[in-house]
Amino acid sequence: MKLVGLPLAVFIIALVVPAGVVVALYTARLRRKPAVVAFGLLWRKVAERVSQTRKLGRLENPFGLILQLLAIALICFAAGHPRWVFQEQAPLTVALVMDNSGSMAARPGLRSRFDEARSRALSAVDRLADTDRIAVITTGGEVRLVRGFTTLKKSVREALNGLRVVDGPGQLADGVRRAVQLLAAQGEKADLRPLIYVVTDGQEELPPAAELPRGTRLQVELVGDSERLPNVGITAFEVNQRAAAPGRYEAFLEVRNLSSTTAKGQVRLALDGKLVEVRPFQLAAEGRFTQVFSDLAGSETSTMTAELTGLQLGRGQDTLPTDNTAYAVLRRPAINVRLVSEKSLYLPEVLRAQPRLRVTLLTPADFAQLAARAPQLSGVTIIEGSLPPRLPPGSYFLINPVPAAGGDQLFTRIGQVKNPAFTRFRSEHPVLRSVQLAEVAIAQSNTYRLGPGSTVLAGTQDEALLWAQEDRGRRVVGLAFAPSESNLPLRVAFPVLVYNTLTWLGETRVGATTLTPGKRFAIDVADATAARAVVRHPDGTERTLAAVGGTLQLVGDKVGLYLVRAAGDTRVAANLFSASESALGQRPVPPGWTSGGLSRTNSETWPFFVVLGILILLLEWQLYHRRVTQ
Amino acid sequence: LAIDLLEKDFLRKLEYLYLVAKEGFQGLLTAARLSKSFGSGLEFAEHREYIPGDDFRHIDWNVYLRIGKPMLKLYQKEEELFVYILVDASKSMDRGTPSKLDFAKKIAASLAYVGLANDDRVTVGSFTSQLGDSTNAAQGKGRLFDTLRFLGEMKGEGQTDMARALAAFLHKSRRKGLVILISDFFDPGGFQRALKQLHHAHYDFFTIQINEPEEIKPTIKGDLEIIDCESGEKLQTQVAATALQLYQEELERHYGELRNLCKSLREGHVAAVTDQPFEDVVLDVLRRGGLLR
Repeated sequence: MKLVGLPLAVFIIALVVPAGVVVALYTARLRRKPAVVAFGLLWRKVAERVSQTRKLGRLENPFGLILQLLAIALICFAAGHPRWVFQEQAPLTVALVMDNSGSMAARPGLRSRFDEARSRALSAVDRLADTDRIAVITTGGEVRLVRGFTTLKKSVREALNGLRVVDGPGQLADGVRRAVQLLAAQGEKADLRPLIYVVTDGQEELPPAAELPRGTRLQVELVGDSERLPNVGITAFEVNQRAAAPGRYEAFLEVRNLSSTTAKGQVRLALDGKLVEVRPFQLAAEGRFTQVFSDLAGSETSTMTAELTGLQLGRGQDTLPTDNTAYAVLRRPAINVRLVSEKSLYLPEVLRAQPRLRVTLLTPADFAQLAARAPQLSGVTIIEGSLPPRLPPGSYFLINPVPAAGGDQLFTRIGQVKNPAFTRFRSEHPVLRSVQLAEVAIAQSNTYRLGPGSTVLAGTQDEALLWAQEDRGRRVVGLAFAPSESNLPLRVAFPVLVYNTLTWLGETRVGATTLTPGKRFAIDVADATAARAVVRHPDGTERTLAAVGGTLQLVGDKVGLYLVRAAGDTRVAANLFSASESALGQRPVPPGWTSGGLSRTNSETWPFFVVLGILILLLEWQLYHRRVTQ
Repeated sequence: LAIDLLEKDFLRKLEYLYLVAKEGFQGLLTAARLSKSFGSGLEFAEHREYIPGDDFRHIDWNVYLRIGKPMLKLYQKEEELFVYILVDASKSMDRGTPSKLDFAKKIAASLAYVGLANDDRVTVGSFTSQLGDSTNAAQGKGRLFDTLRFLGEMKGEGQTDMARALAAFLHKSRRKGLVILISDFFDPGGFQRALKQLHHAHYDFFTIQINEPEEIKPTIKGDLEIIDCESGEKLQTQVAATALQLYQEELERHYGELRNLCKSLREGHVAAVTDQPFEDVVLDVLRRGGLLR
């Protein structure tokens, strides 16, 4: 063994002092119990005979003393922080990926899934050696590096204890990829011993081990039950101003029963805190309840709340309260859309049907000029076909895009494929909300090699047909084929897809009213010259944020209404709206991942020695009293 | 009073003991108390020729018919037996529940009653390091209550010095007789000299050794300060299994010497523990014989 915490010489000195005290006390136990006897002479003879056989008095039979010294030695040894020699091999480099997405707030018992996950993570950190390096990444809303690699366990514990659940969708796969990047940045040391340790409820899919670097240990610890937990949640709540009747609004609400039992309850709709309407519902297992509340009177400063109450789910109870309430802000300002197309057959009609959209038509040549000189583009730009060499920072919906040769490419076109079929979807993404693409027939589509920051939203097993990408200030949704080469324009999904896309792209900036918890959200404050804005969070706390160029970056982790105060009030609603987070199940662990708690062979050994020392002391105490020392 | 010797139950037991003693030990009680002088007792001794002046009521007419000479039938004269019951009233006797002293008092009372009922001259006294008070030599059952009162007022205090106390007894006593010593025989100066001087003074004696259970099988353990209850001397020692075993050996050696001495002097000895019924001890004493002659 090797002492990590105490040099051997110090250990010996530390042992000698208490050992000397113990020996002294042992030989001079002064407190004697008085015992009155009838005939002391007999006892004196006995004592003489006993002393004749014991030349060294108490030390003659020092079993108790040996036990005491052994206990002291063990406790001193424990203070020396002993380790087995083999434990002193190369330390681990652990990327701890903590899932703190909305589903982790589920509370099947007294403790939430996240509390359990944090407890497991803290326990794992305790088991790690002091020389191991640990980084903490969270995946709720956006992937965040909470603590870079450090050997300071205390710092890691503080980071873990400071984590909260983000009431938004998780990015577990991205978190793992971030962990891979972090580990790669540590270099190619032979003794790196990389380990990605994921603590999650298993609701999100882990990336296949084949996609991850070989030689990296992949460990996932699942918290919560493998059985699906009962939950009913609001998965959509949208309020629009009626085009024909200014000042009148209509609300669309979707409630889903994500349980294996029937559910019933009621929806209470409130406008500015005042109850407007109550509608009961009863849902079969996996059932869906959609309602439209029309002709609601309100103003642009009004907020609307939909709340599920009186929920009854068979024998169980609703385990995720986060999705039981949804918030909406009535103010829905227009989105400026720039359509760049030589001759678009369907899009102009689709865009005109949406009163929120203010559409400007541009030819590719005009846009190329604009793009060449503009540092940044506001609104959303739809580009069909060829892309200009430069795309300034902004939001883009790229349809059948053909990147310019030698240009600043977000992605690369590598070929074409005939009759591709949609087989995989990321249906929880806002772009695909209420969009059914499964039966879309496509004659021909481009194939691309996607650049960094890409997320495939829909596609074949091998190719991306619809993707989202964020790279260097550009937020992009790409459609790999021309609508005219498919029957998509003839399907209901097309206008919904276009509207979802433009909303998702456009609402990230000016005039946005709904944010996704955990995601960075840019808000243009009313006064562009304001340097600061005070944001009141749903829990009532107020924080001051710096506004740059009239824009401030808000990250709200909790669902609810956020109030931004800067020369006028701006309200923003935050909702979970994620069926994948609300469906409280557990996915199987993909091959290549090891399931279970983090086991570290070089766990601490000192508690063992302390416990052993205490046990020996107890034994000595017992023996002393039972007088079996002789 | 530590115990009430006048209590009805106790008196009833005394009566019972007397009856048992009378029935079971009559021979012992009457046969051996013979004087060396001849007289008008009940026990036949010999015949001698009639001399004028002799009481002709003692002429054996059967012998006269056989030999034709008046022969006088002589009986051995019965003599009063002096019984001295000496109870050790030192502090060591005042230990245990019931205390050894109380137990000794009951035995003393029982033996005194048997003696008084047999018209013996019974004296009950106490001793510690010196001879204590005693009752006057009493005779007859009517003197029982005085004896019981005396025993009831006896207290355990002081140290034991049996040799000195018995020397004083010998000096004071005018008539030889039977001395019953009731004690734990925990005498730092030893009991040997005391018993030998009794023997050499031609006194018969009977030793009744009283102990409490804790003395026979002590339960004390650990690092102890052992205090002698009489002298107050202290001894610091560790008592464990070995020490307890050695104690048993020393105790056995101590009382072995007592038994052997009594045997060699042809005197009686009985050992009793306070958790026994005292009447069993008394009967045992009587049964073993040699106590009353």
